[in-house]
Amino acid sequence: MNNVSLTKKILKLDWALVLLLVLLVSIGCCALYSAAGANWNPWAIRHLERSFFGLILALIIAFTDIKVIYKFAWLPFLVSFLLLAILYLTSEGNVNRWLDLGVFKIQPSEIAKISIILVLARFFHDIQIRDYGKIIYSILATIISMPIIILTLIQPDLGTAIMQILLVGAIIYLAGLRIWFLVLSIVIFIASLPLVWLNLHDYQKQRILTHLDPSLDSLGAGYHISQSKIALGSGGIFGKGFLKGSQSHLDFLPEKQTDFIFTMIGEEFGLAGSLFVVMIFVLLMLYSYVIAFLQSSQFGRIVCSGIVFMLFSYVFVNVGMVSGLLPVVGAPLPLISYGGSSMLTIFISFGIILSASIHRHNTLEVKMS
Amino acid sequence: MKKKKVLLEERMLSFSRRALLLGGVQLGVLGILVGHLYKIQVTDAKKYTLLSDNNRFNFLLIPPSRGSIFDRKGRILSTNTGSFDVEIVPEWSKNIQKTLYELSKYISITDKEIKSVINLSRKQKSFLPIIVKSNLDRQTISKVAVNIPHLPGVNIQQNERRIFPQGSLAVHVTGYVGRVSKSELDKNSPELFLPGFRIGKSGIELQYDQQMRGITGEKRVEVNSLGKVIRSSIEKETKKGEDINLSLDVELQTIALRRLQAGNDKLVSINQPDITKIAKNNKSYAWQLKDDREFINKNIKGNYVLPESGSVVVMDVNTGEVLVSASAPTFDPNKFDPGISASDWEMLSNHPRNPLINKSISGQYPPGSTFKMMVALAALEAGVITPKSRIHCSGHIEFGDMKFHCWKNKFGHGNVNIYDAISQSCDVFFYEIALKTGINNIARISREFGLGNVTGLNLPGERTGLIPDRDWKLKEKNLMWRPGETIIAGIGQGYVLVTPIQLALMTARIANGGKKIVPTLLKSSSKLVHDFPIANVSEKNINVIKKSMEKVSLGELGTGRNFRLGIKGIEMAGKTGTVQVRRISTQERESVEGVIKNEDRPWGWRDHALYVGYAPMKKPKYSISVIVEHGGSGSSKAGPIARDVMEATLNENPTRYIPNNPVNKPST
Repeated sequence: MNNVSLTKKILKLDWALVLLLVLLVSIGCCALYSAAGANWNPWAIRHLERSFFGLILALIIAFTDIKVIYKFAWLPFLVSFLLLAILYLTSEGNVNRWLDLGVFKIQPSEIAKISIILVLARFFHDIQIRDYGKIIYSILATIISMPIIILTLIQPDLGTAIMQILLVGAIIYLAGLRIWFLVLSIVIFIASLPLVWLNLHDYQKQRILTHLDPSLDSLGAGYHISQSKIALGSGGIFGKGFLKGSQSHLDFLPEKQTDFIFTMIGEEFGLAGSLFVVMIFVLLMLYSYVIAFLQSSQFGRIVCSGIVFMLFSYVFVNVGMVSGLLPVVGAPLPLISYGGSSMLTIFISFGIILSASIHRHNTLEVKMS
Repeated sequence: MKKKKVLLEERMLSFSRRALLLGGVQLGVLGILVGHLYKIQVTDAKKYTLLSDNNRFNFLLIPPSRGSIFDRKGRILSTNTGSFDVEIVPEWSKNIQKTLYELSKYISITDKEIKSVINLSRKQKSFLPIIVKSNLDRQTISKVAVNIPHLPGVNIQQNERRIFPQGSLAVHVTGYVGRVSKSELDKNSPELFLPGFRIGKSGIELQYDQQMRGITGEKRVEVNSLGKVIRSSIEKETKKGEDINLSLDVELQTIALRRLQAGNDKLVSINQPDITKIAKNNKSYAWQLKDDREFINKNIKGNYVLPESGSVVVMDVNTGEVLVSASAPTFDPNKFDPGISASDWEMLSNHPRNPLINKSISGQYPPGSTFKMMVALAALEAGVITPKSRIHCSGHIEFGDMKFHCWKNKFGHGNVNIYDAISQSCDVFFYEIALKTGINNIARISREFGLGNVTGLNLPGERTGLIPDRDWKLKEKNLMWRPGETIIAGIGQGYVLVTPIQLALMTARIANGGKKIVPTLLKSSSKLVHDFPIANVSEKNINVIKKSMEKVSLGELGTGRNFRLGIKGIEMAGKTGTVQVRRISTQERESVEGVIKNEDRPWGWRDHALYVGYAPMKKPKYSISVIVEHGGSGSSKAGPIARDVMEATLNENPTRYIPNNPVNKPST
């Protein structure tokens, strides 16, 4: 009954969602073309190739029954845990985020985000219906995600770890956490900040300090923030024009192909350009929310809304960082920044959303005793 | 089963509520983000655009080449020569300290120098270059040049240094240049902030500084974040400063200066052991030896003495062009750039004969007998005397309880008319006529002939001298003018003060028949018609004065009869002057030994020797004034100098008049 033919599935596919993804990838290609000084090499062409495979992967996942995804929801979690563990065991240097898989390098902490969403969604789906919202399950969910968060934290990748913590918090909240417990958690979190501070690496402390006062280090991390703000601000309302961003092309902008790509778009296309990009992300999020509401299963709902929150945290942290609202934590802008790991994460995620949308009427077994 | 459905419903509603709330929070947070972007990209856009341009563009000033100074025959008096400086532009060097240490591999830089550069870089604008090391030779500079790619912000500047090829010869006219001092900095002239920039500090260099500076160019340079130049464009062309062509004749200047310094002494080479010994014990001698002179004065008594000091001015009587303006002693302006040593500066500023002062325009002296032309002219104009009037000179006159002596004290000059009085310089004649003419009439005529005020010469630092009158005394001293003071003024002493340039101008205006020329140091183009006003004096009376001055040379008893020009058919008219600088007491005058001889007095008590004159007598072309400070009498010291300088001036080939250099001709 639930087995629908592929043609029907293709018809049921949310093409608008796919279009938004393609639009973001195209913006990314243009920006990378500009970042390389009007050159398809070395970034734009690779970006295009990766997104092509990414899209294929997303479609494959989209046509996979949500039941299958539900069934193997723990698998990505196990894989990311293993990858993070291998990374931890093999890392000799101080900071190592990439794992060389021979064919390509990936950032396990990025992949881990979607695995957390999946595993927690299944966890909350599987508990007894009458038990939803019970504190013990919230605590259990936290404990389940702990290995991943701790392995990310000790890489060390504070930025991603914080994003993972927020993600876990958002999912637990959506699954029906009692509000007073949430408040308690926030209080505990704030109380533990000094402890976190003591365990931070010097460069991390430096980043936070410079964020609070950029003039502390005008040629270090603060230099990046101020140059990024100069680039954004000098773009004005309509920008300096495509390929004409002086800050980017004269190398005043750091990492313009990855974390600071939004700045380059803002410089060349002004407020109009940066708002356009933010708007597409907002549309993507709204669309996904709608899909989440239409889900018949708790698993589908939590997975979709979790992915929305993940996307939101990517955009907020990246744009907030380059515009000087948040410290420099090194977060990519999904589908626009050059980089395979975050792209892979996003395509997998939206593959799942598409699947959830196509199979939204497929009912999953609900435990009730 | 119904219970299950209710529970499912309940869970879904709970999720929806929470998802909506979370979505709202997310939207709100993104709203804040958008507001922040709006602030950066719209509200503060101007500020960031400026910062972006500052990042991107650097403006470089290109200093212009300073104009040169030439003498009337095109010989260089002052010009520029290349010198290499290594400088660093802090803005372009990410880490100054690191760059400087790197630089110290190629040129020697001390830690102290590095520190001072870093300190300076914090104080001034970061796009302004700082000189790390200056005046480097080509070989050293090439080592730096090769390694420039590893030295961000380091520049090699081929700066221009000012040189004065004539050394000390014309320093008082050309002046010198120096670094811009704090008080001279002007925000409207950004080039003044350039480290190698030099501006005129005195003389012509100061007078025509603006013209000679030229126009500073601007270059706009687009750089990347490493300070590497991507593009550059000239925004404003550099324009070389104007050249200045002086009326000065450096050859005559040399003759005049050397002749003035020689005086009546024998010149001997300084390359003798006993002279070196003297030099060691006397700072003034030591200075003299550091000057470019290779000989030293040996006086009649066989003592080594300092060269004479004073001034010689030669002026064209028709155009006012100054051909010679020599002031002794002098100094070498080349020592002022890049900087004079403390010991040299001390020697210069403490030298008893004031080498730093241009005596031709800033030295004020009583004119003595050279003032008598003015007194005589005033008397003729006032109708107090006629050319035929005779006055008896018995050697002195008595006025009240005062006694005024003539220089020919014992017997007097007898009955003298104006021609005799001027040619023999009879003092009594002038005491009498001054008294009759009155100080105000004398002052009026003196001013007509250029005394008592700045002449208008285009050189900074000129002084006015002083022509006293009744109003002046009332105003300055709050006292009534006394007739005794008129008597003293009659022979150019007392309050009267003149500068050598004023004396030359006065003589020129007599020579040209009262044409009120204005002295200038610029070469006038010959086509220019000089339309000078004529002094309010009758030509007839001027001719009487000229005739009297002719008799100084030609008359049997003329004070200038012993130093007539050695050129056939050309004579010089003039007037000698000997100025007492101390009062001769009655006791000294009446003692057995008589007045102490000039040369036996200490230098500072000796009389000033003066001479003014013009030549050729019949068709005047040049006027001259000579003053030898404490040089003795005008006829024995100043006159012969004037004769030699004038002879050289009138000669086609004046080189032979340069006093013989004893180095080539050993003295025996």
